[in-house]
Amino acid sequence: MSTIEKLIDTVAANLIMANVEDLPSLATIHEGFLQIVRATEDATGVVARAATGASKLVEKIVLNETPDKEGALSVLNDVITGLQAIERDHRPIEEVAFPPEIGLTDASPKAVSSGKKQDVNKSETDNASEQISPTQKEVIEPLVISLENSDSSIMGEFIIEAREHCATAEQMLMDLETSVDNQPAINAIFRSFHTIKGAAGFLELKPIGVLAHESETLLDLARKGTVQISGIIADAIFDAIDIMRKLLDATEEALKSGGQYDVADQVAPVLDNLRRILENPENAMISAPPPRVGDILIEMGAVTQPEIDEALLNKEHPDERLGETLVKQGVVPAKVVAHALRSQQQIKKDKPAVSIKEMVKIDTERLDRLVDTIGELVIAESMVGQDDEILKTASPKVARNITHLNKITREIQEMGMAMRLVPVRPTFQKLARAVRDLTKKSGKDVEFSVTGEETEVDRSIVENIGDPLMHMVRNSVDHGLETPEERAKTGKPKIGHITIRAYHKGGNIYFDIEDDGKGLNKERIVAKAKEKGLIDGNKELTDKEVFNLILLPGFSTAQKVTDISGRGVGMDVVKKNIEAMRGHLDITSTPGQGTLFSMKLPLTLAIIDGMLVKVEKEKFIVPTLSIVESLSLSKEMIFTVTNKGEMINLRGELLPLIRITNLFDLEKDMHKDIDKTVVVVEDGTRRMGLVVDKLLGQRQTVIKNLGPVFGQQKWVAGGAILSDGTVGLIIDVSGVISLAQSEDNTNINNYTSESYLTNITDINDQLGHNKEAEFAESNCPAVN
Amino acid sequence: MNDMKKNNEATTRTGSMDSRAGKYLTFRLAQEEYGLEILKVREIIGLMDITKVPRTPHDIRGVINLRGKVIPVVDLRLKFDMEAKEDTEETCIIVVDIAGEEGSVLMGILVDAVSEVLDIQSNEIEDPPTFGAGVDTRFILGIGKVKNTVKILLDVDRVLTGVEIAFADDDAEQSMSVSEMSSATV
Repeated sequence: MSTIEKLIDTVAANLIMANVEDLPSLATIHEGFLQIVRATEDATGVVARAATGASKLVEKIVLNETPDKEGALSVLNDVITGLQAIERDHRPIEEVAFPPEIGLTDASPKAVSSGKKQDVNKSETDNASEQISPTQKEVIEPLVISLENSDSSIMGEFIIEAREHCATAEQMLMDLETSVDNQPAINAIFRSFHTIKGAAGFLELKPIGVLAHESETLLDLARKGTVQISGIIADAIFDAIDIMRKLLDATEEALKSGGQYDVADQVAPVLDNLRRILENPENAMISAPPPRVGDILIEMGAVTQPEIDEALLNKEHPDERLGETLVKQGVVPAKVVAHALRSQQQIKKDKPAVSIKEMVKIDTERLDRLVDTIGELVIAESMVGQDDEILKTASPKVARNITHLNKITREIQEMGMAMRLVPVRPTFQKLARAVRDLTKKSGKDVEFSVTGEETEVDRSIVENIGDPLMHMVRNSVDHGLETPEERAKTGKPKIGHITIRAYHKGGNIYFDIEDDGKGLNKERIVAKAKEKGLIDGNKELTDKEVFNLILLPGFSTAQKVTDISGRGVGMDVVKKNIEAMRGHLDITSTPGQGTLFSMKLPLTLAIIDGMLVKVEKEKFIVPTLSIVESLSLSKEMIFTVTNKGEMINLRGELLPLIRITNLFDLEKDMHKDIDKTVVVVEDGTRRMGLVVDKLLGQRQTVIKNLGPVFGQQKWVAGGAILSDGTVGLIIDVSGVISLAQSEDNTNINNYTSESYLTNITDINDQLGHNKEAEFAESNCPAVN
Repeated sequence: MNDMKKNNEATTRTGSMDSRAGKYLTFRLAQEEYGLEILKVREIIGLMDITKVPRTPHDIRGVINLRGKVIPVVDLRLKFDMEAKEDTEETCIIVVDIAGEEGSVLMGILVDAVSEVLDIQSNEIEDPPTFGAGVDTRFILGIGKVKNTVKILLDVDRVLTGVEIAFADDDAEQSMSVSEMSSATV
């Protein structure tokens, strides 16, 4: 590779990343072009002149001298493509077309005309059609993703970035649905495709490049106002994004397996569609610039259409504006025109600004490691801070420093937590997109609104919440909402509403999905459940119990199963998914008015709310979610069966007891303060009492996987690092109950009432117990 | 002997020379000296509080907190059916990287004392002799003869994966995770 080729490639790479606001990167590009000029042997050759022209154009961008910076950037891209064609592909100089803006002598004269912006775009599209039409066949045929001679790390980065661009473009497209003239959004989409195109060209990913190119051309028309991004054009671009994602997946696959992927089948229909629209964009959509003053006036009722037509005919000179004419002719008072003008301005201004935050990408593994390390730091800090020697010292200086250390540690801990948090916006966008597609399929009018999309949630939750949410939204569209005809009959507005909310409440995060559809049909649910044998025939059920029936596996009341969803089918999966995140699903429904699904989830999966209990010398953590209540145990409360199985009468309910000491065969602690407590736990179906020595208090702990060695141990859910740095075991309530039930009673047999008597001597030492619990609590930092 | 050449063999494990040659961390168990491939050793830590895990084989001492990671600790004496012994000042935990099915797993092995790092050359290594039915030699890489002493070179992957297999006979159920636990909660 020659020096000049390298230089060109460097500039090309920089250009891909360039942003008109990013002056340092523009400076690099500028320098790059100058280096190309210096590297050429013939300073008057086309290459040198083109590069010089390009560097001047960069200067203009930097100095704000060009009205259309984005357009100028794409001109630069074209220049680079041209230079690459000459230097790398050795195409004859005559064949390579350079954009006129860079001032080559053979540039077309129209480059100097006043409508520069138009020309930039025009020349681009002209180029595009020239490139595509004569070679169209060749373009379609080699739509094969082949990564034979590509750099896999660059490719990997490209895939990640291109996916982000797809997401941005999709988001902006959604925005456009509500505000068609949102110019920043159109630009952002254009830019996304443009970047993908540039990079794909650089990486020789032809299918992606072609697809991006066609989309870009269409978007360019939208930028100029020739077409509007709505209706079939929006659909075409949505399709393009979808296919783009598939192509990226295929590329990733090819990257892993090294194979070739022929994607022509997938790409061709989308490309054809785009091209068809491009051939005749006006047919697809007539442009709609901001409403005209006349239209606004008509809407306000100040004038009528004939009056306006007349005014337009009677203009005194062609440049006169309609408002002026109307006022002059006395049709409307000046004040009204001014009002109309203001509202026109308002409409123009009403486009939300697209803000781009500076972000740094970090490997999630590194992030996890950082968060882990911070957790350790917190523990180490509390170990130092609570050290007996330190607590004894009277030095105010040490105390002050320790406090300072503590403060910094907390701050770092909070930051660490915050780094794991991501907004739910992308998840919600996917839902909005799904609703949009579903609406079309089901023929229902749906207005989808979202609140709290800026709510931040732990990454692990966001990863897992998507599917359940999607499922429920589908259910709502397909079965929750009625058809427009049904709605009209019941006197509801034709358009159905689905609202999704995300919010924080009481240390949990909530996701609500609410529709104003027909609500759940209690009678049918009950009938169905009876039919399927899921419930006992005669039992009276509360509303809540009835609604929860739809969450049972194998339950479906849908009379028709569509390709979208069948209500009930899969709701058990939704429930399972939510519970896997230690969350809870709540259903409320009013017949005829709608249904509300409310999901309650912990802020993070990494942390568990647990009750620290002491049994003999060991400490265990029982997940608070599984705990129903706890009570102190006295000998009189216990009933035995054949002198073995123990149970207590808990307000009329017989509760079997599990003695942790016996179940785990723990070494007896002879010096302990005896203070027996029963922790009543349940796993959904079964309820039992765990007999422990003491409750040490509730705390949040980080769950650590114990790894494959303990995979077989169903009763342990994981480890948690306690405030003293040792590991506490988190009890899996379901596993423990199963274990206790499967256990042949040998261990329990060992336990005699005698040993119980020795244990139960000091049950009333509640005061001491509480004190200790408090102490333990205050000592325990909430580990990240 | 050429140092460079030796090191190459030890690290790259290629060539016709014995791939067992290389650096070993040696430690003591009762009167015996053992060796672990140095590349397997992550670190050596002093004895710390070990949380017992009930209902596990007796050679698993429990779990420790290694800077935020929870790792199991195997008492090598018990693993080899040697007589149990009170922990001393010298007792320590060698953290090793075990090649598991799903990537590497960290494990601690509890030994009486750590001795030194030895460079053992291929001509000093012999295959383990056969002792008959009573002695399992499958987890022995070889026997190193250094300065009139004998170092038993362990294939630590074999030693410790045995730990898993011993009671993780139901592979399908191996990963106990948050989801397992919370299926218990409503």
